[in-house]
Amino acid sequence: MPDLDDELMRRCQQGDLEAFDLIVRRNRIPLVTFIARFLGDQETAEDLAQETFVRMFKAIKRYRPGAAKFSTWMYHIASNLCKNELRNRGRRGRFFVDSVNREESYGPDQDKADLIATAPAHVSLQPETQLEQKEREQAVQNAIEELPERYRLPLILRDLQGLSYEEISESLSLPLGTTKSRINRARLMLKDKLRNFVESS
Amino acid sequence: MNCLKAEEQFSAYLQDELDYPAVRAFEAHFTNCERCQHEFRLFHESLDLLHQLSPVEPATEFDANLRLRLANTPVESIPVWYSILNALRYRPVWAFSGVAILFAVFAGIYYFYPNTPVTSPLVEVIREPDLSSAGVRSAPFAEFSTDELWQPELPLAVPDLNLNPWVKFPVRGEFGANGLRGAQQPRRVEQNYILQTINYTDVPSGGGL
Repeated sequence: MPDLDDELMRRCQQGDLEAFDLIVRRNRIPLVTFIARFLGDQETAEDLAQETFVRMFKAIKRYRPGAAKFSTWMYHIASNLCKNELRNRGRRGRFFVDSVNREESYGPDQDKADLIATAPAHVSLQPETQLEQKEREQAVQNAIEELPERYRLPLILRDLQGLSYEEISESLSLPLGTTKSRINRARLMLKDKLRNFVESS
Repeated sequence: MNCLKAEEQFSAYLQDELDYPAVRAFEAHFTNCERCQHEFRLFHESLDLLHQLSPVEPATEFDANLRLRLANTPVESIPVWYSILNALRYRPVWAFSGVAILFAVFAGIYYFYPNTPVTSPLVEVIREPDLSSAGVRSAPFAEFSTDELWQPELPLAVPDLNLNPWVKFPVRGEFGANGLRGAQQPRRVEQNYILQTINYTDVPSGGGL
């Protein structure tokens, strides 16, 4: 059974531009999530996700449905853009403040007050639960950002995006064994970085 | 199995990627090692936390901005060479046949037309100008037969004076005004020999000779 994205790409190649719109709608959230979790900056993540879609659109005729999975191609382009972005940041010497899961204009007290004021009835949407979840996500995001780039990429692709080892090795142009060992190493490093948080909670 | 080895297999154990003997060895160590049990619990919980991360929603203007950018983006056309290479990429028989045909064509041309002049824009061909129409006699060397053609006389090898100190070579001025050395000119070489006379009558005869 052919992949739906492959089928949509085939339609794009025949001139159906609405099919590309469908591709964007299907993949924008995973792509923005991937880049945002990697860079820790949502604004840049959206820019890079748009750039990824633009590059895919430009090279639409070069895509061969069936030769490689669509997601592999998409994450290959996105991970190259992410690496370039990190390199440019290092060159510019800029510090980016993490804006994923972080409201810059609100302090923690203001945040808490707003959540309590608009408290819903369900337990999972209670303000304290939401705050806990926010703290937890922040801790995990910080731990991810502390990982070296070569461990961060395969970890996110595997454990957040759900790609198979083969797809990851193809996306990152790495041997399968290297991909597996990097994911394993990344998970162990993440465990060490989250040790204090997990033990305290 | 030690703790370090067990820790390296946490991922594989959790995802059922270990074979049966490896699982047996892992569990044998795991049931007796409290440290590994604690580390495994940490590992498991940190992975759970990672899996619980919520997806990041793009801003509402994401789609509008992207449409704007896509409207100004032309689709790149595929060059001919790329499509040919692409077609041959997964057809090694076709690629091999193509190379063989090209080789056969060039071999045939070389075999049937071995003296075909190669004209290349890089090679500049200089032709003798046709002066007959202008009333100019053609170049004199064209009337000579090949036997009469002047052939340059190769210069003699210049000896290295340091090779043999007993051979005296003449200096350049001794060969005449033109200073050239030709085959007709006599080679005047003075050689000095040292003759050593050995008087065998003085040799002592006590040695048995």
